[in-house]
Amino acid sequence: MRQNLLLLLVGMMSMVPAAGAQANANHLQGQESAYLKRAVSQPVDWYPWGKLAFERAKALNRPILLDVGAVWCPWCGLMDRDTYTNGAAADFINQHFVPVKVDFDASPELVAQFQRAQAVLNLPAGLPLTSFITPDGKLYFGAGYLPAEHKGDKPSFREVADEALARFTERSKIEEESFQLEVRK
Amino acid sequence: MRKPFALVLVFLLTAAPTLFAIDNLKLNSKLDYRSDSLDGPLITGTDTHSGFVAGRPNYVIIYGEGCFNSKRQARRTVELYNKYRSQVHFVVVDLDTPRSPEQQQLVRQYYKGYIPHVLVLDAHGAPLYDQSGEVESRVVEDIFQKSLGQ
Repeated sequence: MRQNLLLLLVGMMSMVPAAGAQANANHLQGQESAYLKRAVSQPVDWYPWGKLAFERAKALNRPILLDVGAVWCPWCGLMDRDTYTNGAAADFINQHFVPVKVDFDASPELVAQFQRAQAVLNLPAGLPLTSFITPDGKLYFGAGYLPAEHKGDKPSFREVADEALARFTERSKIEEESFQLEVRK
Repeated sequence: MRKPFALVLVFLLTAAPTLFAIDNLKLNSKLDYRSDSLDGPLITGTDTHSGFVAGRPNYVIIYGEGCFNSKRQARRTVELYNKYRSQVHFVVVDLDTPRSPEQQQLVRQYYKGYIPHVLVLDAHGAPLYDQSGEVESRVVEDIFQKSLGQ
């Protein structure tokens, strides 16, 4: 009996660190690309691009927040540092969006689709690319680099995210102006 | 009295494309050609929102501000402008700033998602060159010269 208890205790103790590590990681664990690897321990619950993220967005009826960047892009690094590693900003994102991160270098054709979508909608189309997408794959709003705080004529991340949520709730504007993306994988 | 009116009308009709065309193109002097830094609009000028103008060949560059290749192509664009401004209409589309409806028409029709994208359109708007990526000036000049009948 004592031996069984001891074994159980040892088993539980060895599982605790693994469970803890999983709790601190988002859905980017196991991704190969440098830009996604860099974001594994960010508090934002990032998903890679794919069906899983869209299924979650459908289930929760939330828009997808898409961040496209690259390791060599200084403005992408700045957004990572100022917004995506900020606890309060991450809580807000996790509460209202299904966040998805894409590496520009790892998926050039996929990114070309996003950039074309933003350009057609008369939105900025450079890097970083910050897009808002409905659960059925319509890109309806977006921006480029967004500072954590409003700077000059540049709106803050939070201001743009609030606008994206308002448009998602309104829907009629999305039907009027959006770009249907191909969602594969 | 009728004659001056007719003359003004003729002048306006012939000069209209030039009056509303982009002019005084200048390269942003702060551009860093060694990196993808954001240095602001790559090319400045008056009426940078103009779109396709019929009646002469058009050169169109669609670029992103934080793009090393766009910066290099912007430099070639201004050199070409300085050489061909009287014969060719130049259109500069900055994907990082809001665009006019005329420019959006070009973006919808030709932009595939890669920058820079360069177009040469003939006097009627038919594409003579339509490729993403940098392009050497001599390639563009050959197309200009054929289109201008030289």
